[in-house]
Amino acid sequence: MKKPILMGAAVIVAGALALTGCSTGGDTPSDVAEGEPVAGGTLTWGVPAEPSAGGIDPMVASAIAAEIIDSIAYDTLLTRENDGTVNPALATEWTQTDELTWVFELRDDVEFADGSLFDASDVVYSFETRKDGGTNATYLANMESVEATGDHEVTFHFSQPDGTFLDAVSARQTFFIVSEEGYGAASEEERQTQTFGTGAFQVTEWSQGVSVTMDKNDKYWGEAPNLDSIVFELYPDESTLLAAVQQGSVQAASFIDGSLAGQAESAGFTLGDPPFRQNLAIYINPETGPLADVNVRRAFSLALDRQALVDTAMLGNAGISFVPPAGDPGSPDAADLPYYTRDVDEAKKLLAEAGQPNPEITLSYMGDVAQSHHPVYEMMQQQLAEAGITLNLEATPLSEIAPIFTTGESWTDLVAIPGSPRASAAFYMQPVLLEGGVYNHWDGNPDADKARDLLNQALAAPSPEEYNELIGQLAEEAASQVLEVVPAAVPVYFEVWDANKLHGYESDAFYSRYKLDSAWLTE
Amino acid sequence: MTVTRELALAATAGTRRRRPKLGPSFWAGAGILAGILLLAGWMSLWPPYDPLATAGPPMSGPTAQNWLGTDNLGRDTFTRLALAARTSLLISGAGALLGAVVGTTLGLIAGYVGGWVDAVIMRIVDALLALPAILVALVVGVVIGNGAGPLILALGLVFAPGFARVMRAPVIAMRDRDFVLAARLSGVRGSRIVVEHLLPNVLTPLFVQFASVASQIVLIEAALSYLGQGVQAPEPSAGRMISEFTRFMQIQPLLIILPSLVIILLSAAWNLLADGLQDWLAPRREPAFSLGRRPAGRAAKNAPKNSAPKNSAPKTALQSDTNVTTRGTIHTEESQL
Repeated sequence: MKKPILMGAAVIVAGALALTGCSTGGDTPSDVAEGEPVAGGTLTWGVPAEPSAGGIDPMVASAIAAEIIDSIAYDTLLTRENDGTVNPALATEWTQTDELTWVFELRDDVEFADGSLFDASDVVYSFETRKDGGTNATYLANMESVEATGDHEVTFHFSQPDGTFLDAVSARQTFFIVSEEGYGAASEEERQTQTFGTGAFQVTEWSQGVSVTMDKNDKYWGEAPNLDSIVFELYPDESTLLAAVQQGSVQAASFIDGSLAGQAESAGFTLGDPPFRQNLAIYINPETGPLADVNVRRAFSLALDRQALVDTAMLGNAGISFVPPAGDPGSPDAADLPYYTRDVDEAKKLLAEAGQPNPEITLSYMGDVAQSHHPVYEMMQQQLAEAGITLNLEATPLSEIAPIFTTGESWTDLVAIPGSPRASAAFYMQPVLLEGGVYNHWDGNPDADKARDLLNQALAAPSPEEYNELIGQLAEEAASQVLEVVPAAVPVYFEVWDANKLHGYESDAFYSRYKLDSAWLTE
Repeated sequence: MTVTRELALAATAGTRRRRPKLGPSFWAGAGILAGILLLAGWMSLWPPYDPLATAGPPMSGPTAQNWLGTDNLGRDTFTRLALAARTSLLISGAGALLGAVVGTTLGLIAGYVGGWVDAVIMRIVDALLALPAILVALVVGVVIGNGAGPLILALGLVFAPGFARVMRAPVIAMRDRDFVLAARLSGVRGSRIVVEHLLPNVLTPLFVQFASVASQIVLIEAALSYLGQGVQAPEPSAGRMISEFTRFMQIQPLLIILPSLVIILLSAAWNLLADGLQDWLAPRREPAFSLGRRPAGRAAKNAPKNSAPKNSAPKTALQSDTNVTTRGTIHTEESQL
């Protein structure tokens, strides 16, 4: 069962009333040429969260903070560009010999940081460990077996065609390859605090609540990294992080709150342009209440002015989105979806047709975290009121809302839970539509039948083209039946850095910071 | 029979020292509170802007249209702050009142009755006093939900033990005083003695405690709202404004300075009121008020029943009017409470 990662979980909980330093202004953006890379130096990067449950064990951890560290320390068989282009990584070639079989040729010049040699058995071990109860094991639901068909060749066998496999295997923070020798022999605690990968940097020290230090991996198979080490310093209060950025205590930082990142940018820092991969998803409980009627759901969707939510509530730090999120490679254009353009008159008409001209709907959201999202809900309340819909906001502490996304406990009419990026588009709708899904209150509801069929077809699509086609139809159908509400999408993190000091870096869609492999520092 | 008890007392007291005038602290405190009430009344009845709707460009500074600027959603800060102050005033006033009613009742009972009743009540009070107010308020919030109502209930109950302790001491000191004994011997019911004879004499600490508790409640409400456990969005609340707008403090510092000022002002107003009242009420001599003249008929009806057991005083004396001077020395420990 997938556990959505609440990136807001460990952050934004109010820290202190004290003002957190004054604006000293940063350096002006660099217009000097990037110049030749310089070797050496330690990059200090401020982060608002550190790995939580499962530590940095790549098979267990699900927190985004852990995924970021793991994606630096571990490699995947393939990688993907922001536009969806698939590139080789630990695998050099990949072929789908038939609908149920994939063959990967592996690099033969790779060594793990622990000194063991990389070969097919590590890949087999990594995939089998993951399928056997690791995070995202459901991504491998259709994988029947994986076998080494040579020292540097693996073959995957599927029980039915799997439309998501190529996406998942090339997502930078999903199917990490671990060293069978190092990881396999390590204790649970070692796995959670050390790394056993082939990546450019490996974790050498994790001082909980303070920082995570990653040092250069001298055995890295790619081009040798320029930086000696990277220190991720923890600043749970983002206003404090902003002060640290402005004071120059950190050379780069990631923010959940776009407006704080914007303030860092206006102080002279470079703001990355990461795609909007995190939906501010609002899940619907259609079992009782006004939202059981599709016309009320449509009126709800029509009454929302998503552009205003993006521009005003999120201060422009968001995008219009549906499922999959707008920033996912190949996601459909949300603006064209049915019931997506505001039409208050039509909304009122639909409510009248439903016999509920003034429905009262309750939305639960996490009152103690992800504060930068709260204005969205308050503004939705204003917008819906214009159509005659009363939206009651129920701020619920994270601890009380958690059972909803861990056990699928029942909830009020709507529950807002910021989603986490998934390796492939179909995985977003799985917990909403399929049996056992934690957000699934649609079982037996005919409104969701067609969408469920489309999702199942997509999961079993024999080719990427058919998969993408079905995902497009699914988005259309889900928007038409309003099976989920997405007021906006945001990046996983807004990254800022001092371009005078950190060179050769840019944000990527998979928030993996893989560009740190080749970035360099100057004084 | 038409003169009131006060007038009768005043007449017998002869030349009374006049009560000193209310001092500047009182007027400052009362003035701020009255100002906030007026402002809140204005904003509740004829608000210039809808406090929940956009009324201007986001995060603007003070303008002719928006006197104190706007917040991140373009809502008018002046309107929202006035309503936040109203909510805060209401919660602090109502919470302190609830605490005062519950606590005073317990304190008077404990003090007047004494014995094991006193022991039980005061041990419970001691236990409750050991709990941090904010923690109890948080727990109550989790159990019965957030919002103004639960907050009033939670904070009222949290501060009740304080009132009980403050009320008990003077009652104990006074319960054996002559006027109480006299009332008792006159057959006055225990509840009436407590309300009419004891309570008016312990009003000084009550008023002072009330205002200082209200001041503390302002701060606790702000803290709870800051933590997201107090007044809920989109209702304006100064504490929540501070927590919400900390992230904008470099862009528009007014967004957190103004709600901070409101909290300071409210808390200071209650404190000033407490000081002023303390000064004013300190040199008191007579009951500040009475429940009114006891109807003669009722007195006649109650008296024999109340005094009948164990009491050997002559019935004729007890059955006479309330103002009769009792000279007997018979003392009963029996309470009517």
